[in-house]
Amino acid sequence: MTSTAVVTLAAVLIVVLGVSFISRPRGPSTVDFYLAGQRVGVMTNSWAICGDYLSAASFLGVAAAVYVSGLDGAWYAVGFAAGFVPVLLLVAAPLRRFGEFSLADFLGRRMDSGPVRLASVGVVQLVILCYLVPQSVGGGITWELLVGQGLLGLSPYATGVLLSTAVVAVVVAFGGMRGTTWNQAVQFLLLFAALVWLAVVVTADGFRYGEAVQSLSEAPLANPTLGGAEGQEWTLTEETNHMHPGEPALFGEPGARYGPLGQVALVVTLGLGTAGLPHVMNRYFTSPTGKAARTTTVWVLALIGAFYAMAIMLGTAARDIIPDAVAGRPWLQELTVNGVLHTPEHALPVLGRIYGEQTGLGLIAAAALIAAMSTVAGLLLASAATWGHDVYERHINPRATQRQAVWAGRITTLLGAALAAGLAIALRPEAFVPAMPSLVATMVTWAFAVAGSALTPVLVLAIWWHRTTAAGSLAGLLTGAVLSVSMFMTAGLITTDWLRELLAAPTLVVAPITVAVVVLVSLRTRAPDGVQAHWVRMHGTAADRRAERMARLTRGGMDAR
Amino acid sequence: MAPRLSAPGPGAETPTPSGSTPDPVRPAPVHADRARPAPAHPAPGPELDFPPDTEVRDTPAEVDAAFRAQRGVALAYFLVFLVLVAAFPVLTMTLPWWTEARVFGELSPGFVAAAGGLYLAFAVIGIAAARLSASVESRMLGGQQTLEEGSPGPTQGAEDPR
Repeated sequence: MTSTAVVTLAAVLIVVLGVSFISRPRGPSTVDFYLAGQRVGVMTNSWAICGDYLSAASFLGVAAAVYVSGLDGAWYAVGFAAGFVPVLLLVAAPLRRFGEFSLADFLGRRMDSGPVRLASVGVVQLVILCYLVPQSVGGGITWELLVGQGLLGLSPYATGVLLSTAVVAVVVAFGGMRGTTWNQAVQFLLLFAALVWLAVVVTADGFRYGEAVQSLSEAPLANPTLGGAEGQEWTLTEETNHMHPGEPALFGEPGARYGPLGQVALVVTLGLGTAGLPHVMNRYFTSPTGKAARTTTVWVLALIGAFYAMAIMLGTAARDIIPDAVAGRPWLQELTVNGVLHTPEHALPVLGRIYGEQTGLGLIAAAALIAAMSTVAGLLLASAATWGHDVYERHINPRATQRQAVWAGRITTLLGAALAAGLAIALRPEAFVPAMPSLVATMVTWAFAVAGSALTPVLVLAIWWHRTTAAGSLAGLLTGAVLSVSMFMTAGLITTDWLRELLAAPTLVVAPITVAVVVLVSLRTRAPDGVQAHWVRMHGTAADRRAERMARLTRGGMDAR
Repeated sequence: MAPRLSAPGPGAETPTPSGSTPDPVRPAPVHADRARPAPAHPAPGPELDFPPDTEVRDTPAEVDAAFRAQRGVALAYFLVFLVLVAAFPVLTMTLPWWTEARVFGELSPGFVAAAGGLYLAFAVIGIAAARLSASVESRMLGGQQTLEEGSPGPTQGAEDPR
């Protein structure tokens, strides 16, 4: 292990553990453990939401998708960023004003229904698992590149997966939402700084965005695939143009990966999925008011827009710069074929090493680890909230004390982490490259597909349509989950391009079906009692005004504006 | 830090804290130490002379009117958002200029949009929608509080002093 790797890992550990220790919970309270006492200010929460949301899929995956697919790879970034527009318009403020522990808790109480709560728990867990595994994969990839050796007889990849997941699990289990919030906020700032550094050094070295795109678009886009007699030889294969069949696919033009329908399907899937991501939506419950939740989302939109714009630029820069950098760098020759990386997720770490040697690699690798860890933290906490609060407290032990409830959350955190690490080790990213140009980004798309197809439609209707019933919600959740999983699981078997693209990102089709099912079933069943009280709570601002007044009186640490 | 328990519901029109709503599947937990997240209204502590709850009350009629206005705002901006997202493939298929022209450095309009322009547009939509929503809320809700504080009510066209 190089001294750079040691310093990088030590720095990550010091940041994560130090922040967790400083911001540790002060007592065994579930409101503190799951919601950080509901006193997280606008800026802190916006940074924390960015840290939560900008995962390995965003840091490594978006640049990788652009690296491998050119302009079509940018659709991941567009979809990820677009997701916060529906959140702002339709969800953030009412969800916070209703004020519960989790999405499942919100739906269960809004519908006054235990079955809805349990069905929501199932869908939420499915989303979390789909999201958690690629984050652990990202941790493994980064360790492999940074350290290059395993511990205790494990492979470097497995070591990275286990260590990154274990550290986060311990931090979350004992730091709760308070520690996780500050960790995610600090981690986002570090992540953003790493990207800014890379953008600055690349530009200072002479990289010109427009000229690079122009230059890359002069030849057909080709990427490594495993071929040869034994299927073990890397060769470059030209991409098919899905927008204009018969013409070569070019880096700077649409079509290298998606046809017109595929573009829209991907953006809608990612855009609607964000509003159903439990780890992101749970963060809104930590805001002091609904108005603060809305303002937080505006900041998130601005910050992640800047982040993704840089990620796309750097994906382009990697494609442009790496071929010329191979000469004289034996380590890079091992990672490439004809100047193109085997594993596109290596694009940013390689760029970091080219410009900053071991220090640059260490910085980018630390940022990648941090990106994966901060998202894993949010996911584990969301998982703990659903198992610990919605299942254990509500159904297994309704008389649990605060201490028992918090420990239930801690134990489920550790179990969730173990499951995710196990699944991540079972998956090797290289094995999926031919089918999925960016494994990390593709797997995250599945999480968005389930969330956008099942949770988001039900959530939006529960907030905006007072006739939504428990039966309707239940039918919608099950329909959305079953259809979306079935569609993206069968996408790989389909040979017709437009149909495969639609099935791989199924929310464009499934979300309207889910809405129709919820509406039809709700109209045939009786709405729950107390809808008016729910409405006043979700759409009124009395609680906000009271919290703001309280904040002015106490002048405490709460930013309720 | 001790959990911030919800204050008692201020009246029939005002929502009760989440913890006070009985669950239909299980009886409400009986433990006194059970904390529930507060719906954004921290409990007034004994050390503060906090005014009575009536000053932060919303009536169902007020909320319903504000809800309808907010729904209009949300749907209008959501429509703009959908048009923005759908416009890209439509322009790609119908307008050669979209991918062939060079408008920023050597980048085509389509690349500029995907690489940065759309994020700017999303942020602008977000800022505009948030400002309008906040304005709607401050004008349509909290009238009773404003009147009790001695200022003209929102129905009289005055700005909420907040």
